[in-house]
Amino acid sequence: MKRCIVLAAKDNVATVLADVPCGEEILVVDQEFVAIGSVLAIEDISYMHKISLQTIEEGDAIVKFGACIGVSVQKIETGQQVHIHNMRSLVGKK
Amino acid sequence: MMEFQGYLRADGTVGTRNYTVVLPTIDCANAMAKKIADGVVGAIPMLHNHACIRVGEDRRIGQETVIGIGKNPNVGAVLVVGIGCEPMCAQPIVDEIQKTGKPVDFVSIDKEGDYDTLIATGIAKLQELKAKADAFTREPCDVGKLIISIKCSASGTMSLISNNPVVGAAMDLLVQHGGTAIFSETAEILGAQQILKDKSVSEEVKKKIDAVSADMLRKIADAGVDILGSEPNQGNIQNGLTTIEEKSLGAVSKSGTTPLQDVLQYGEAPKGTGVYFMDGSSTSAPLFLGGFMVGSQVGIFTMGGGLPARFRGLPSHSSGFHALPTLKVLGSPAEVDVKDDFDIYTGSVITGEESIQELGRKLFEKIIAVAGGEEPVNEQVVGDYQEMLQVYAIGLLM
Repeated sequence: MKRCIVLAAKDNVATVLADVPCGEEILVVDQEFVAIGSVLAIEDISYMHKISLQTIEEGDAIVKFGACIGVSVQKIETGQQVHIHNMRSLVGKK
Repeated sequence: MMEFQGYLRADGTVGTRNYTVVLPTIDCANAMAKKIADGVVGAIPMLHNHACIRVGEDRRIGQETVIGIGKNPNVGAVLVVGIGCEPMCAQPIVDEIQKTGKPVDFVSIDKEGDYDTLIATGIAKLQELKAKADAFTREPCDVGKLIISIKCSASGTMSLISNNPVVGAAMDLLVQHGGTAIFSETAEILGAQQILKDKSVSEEVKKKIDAVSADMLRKIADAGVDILGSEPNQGNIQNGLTTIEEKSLGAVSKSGTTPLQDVLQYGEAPKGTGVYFMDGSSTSAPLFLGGFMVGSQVGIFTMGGGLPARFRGLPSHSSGFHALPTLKVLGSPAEVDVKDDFDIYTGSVITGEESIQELGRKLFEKIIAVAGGEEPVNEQVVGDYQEMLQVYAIGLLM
């Protein structure tokens, strides 16, 4: 089973460790690579990109490694790819 | 005390290499310095872009950079090549370098009078200096005297999982043995300031983190630009990164888990040992030069993955910086086919075959081997390619 890694307990995204096609269920592992659950990809997600682990409303913080890495610019469903098309930085010109 | 085979210098610093360097005082002297260096087998020119157009703080940085190159313990002997009309001429530069006790001499066009005499005198003096430097031999030196400069590149989401945490684990071991690590790239702490503040040794250091971050944010705001496309850049975005905040989390993980001792100005020497942050650009060339000018003897260039992993040598003005032997670290399993082009491959963390701690130890041992004379991959492939060293600038260039 393909895997994604979640780097801190409160993160709402995980990093996929392989190309994941739409419709595939993947294992969620923690920092020690121990399986802690699974998530269904609802779109294709590229190797090393992020998958949403929960519904994220527009304007909500994207949390990775326990830190805010930006905010969503649209509603993101569980299992969607989280990338520059649906989130943005809080640094610099918007 | 853990030891490596190094060059113990008269001032107590230790070198990992023993170059005889031809050092121009200013950019105008570059071509003459190169001509002189070409006349003595094994001598290297260290050409740079310090110039009269620099004013104020940038002039100071330029002059200290030139002096710092000469003082670095990887430099066994120095011939300074000057003009006579530059803001700081050859003699005061020689005087500063001489404080280390190493062999140093100079030629200058105002003293020699013409080009041919300058070249001939320069070559004769360089031969003498080279003979003196060649008399130095390796002997057991304290690993705790090592100062490692760290730079990350070709970053991606893997940088927070494999390559940078492995570098961090190696830096933890280095610090345990009394050594020093310097990381930089002020743009790449934005979003990760709290992590650095949480491990800072004092309130004063925390305030400095806030100050350099605020200064960088102000510069970004003043420029009125979207930094996406640079921080992170297109390669980073292909590697899964989305924002500078996300990139910074990976970037700071290369500094390990030991306390952050201080935030240094660009070119400011660490006052003690341990991990230091130096304010500065994310560009490799001034970053490694900033470490080198304060005595760094080994570099680490950690790469996430993507196309730069296929260069074999180092990218971004780092490949031909001969006097700073620099190890390459690879993070992504997608580039496992080129892992032999790296000094250490850490994608095995992601595939679950090795742990961060195991690889951190391997990298630390590799650093010690390189410090002792083993050639890292870049040194094996670089040949006679010389880099033009880029002096850092913060302000007005006339």
